Amino acid sequence: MISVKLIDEKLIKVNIELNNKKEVIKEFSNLLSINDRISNKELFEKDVIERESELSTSMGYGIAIPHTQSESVSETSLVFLKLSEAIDWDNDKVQMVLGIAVPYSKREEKHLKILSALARKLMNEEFREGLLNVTLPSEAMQYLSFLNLEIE
Amino acid sequence: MKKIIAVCACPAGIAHTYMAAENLENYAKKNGYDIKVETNGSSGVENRLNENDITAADYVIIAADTKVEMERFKGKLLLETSVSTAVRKVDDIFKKIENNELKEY
Repeated sequence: MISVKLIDEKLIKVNIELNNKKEVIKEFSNLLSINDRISNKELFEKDVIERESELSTSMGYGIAIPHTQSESVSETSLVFLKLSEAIDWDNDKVQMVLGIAVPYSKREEKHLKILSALARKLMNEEFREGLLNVTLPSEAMQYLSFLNLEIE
Repeated sequence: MKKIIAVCACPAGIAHTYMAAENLENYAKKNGYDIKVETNGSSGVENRLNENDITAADYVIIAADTKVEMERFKGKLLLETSVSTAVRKVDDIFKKIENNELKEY
């Protein structure tokens, strides 16, 4: 059985220039698509935007976590985008985006547990500061790879 | 030590619920409260509050944007707020506790 990791360096962009929420969601969807983790970009983007309209995923602390459980998703995935400059996200300033994609069909307990572990971790100031100061995807992986370990 | 019990819940239940729970737990511990937080997330109910927890609790915090079983808290001093308040403005919640602004449910 091939096990696909939740996150790898190809799903991380550091200091990427994006100007608004729409561009961020496009990039989120692009990265997943070129890495074969979603099957339908349009549907994916629509589902993310729909979720976003229910309740903004900006969390304060300069972080947004757009996420969806969508039929378009084939592998549970985490995308990390650190923007070169903070953008407006529903009247918040956001510089770090952790995008979460979960397949609709298999609500895998384990994956959801991992995502809740990430959510809890983001409440830790040291963790946030560390992540905000990374300059390379490999450094970001040092902060996020603990999530992969728990899947096996 | 004053005992707080809380329930966190949000519509998708993937992240906000757990952020709110973490924040409430951290803040409570730092400020000398005993706390137990039930999360109603997408992986179901975790850390469920039992009868003893509810009986022993001085305060109840409901940080939810979706329906929570409320009957069990009848007669308790309770604060209802949104899950995002628990994520962003956790100190406001505790200020209300300290100022005795909670109402009997």
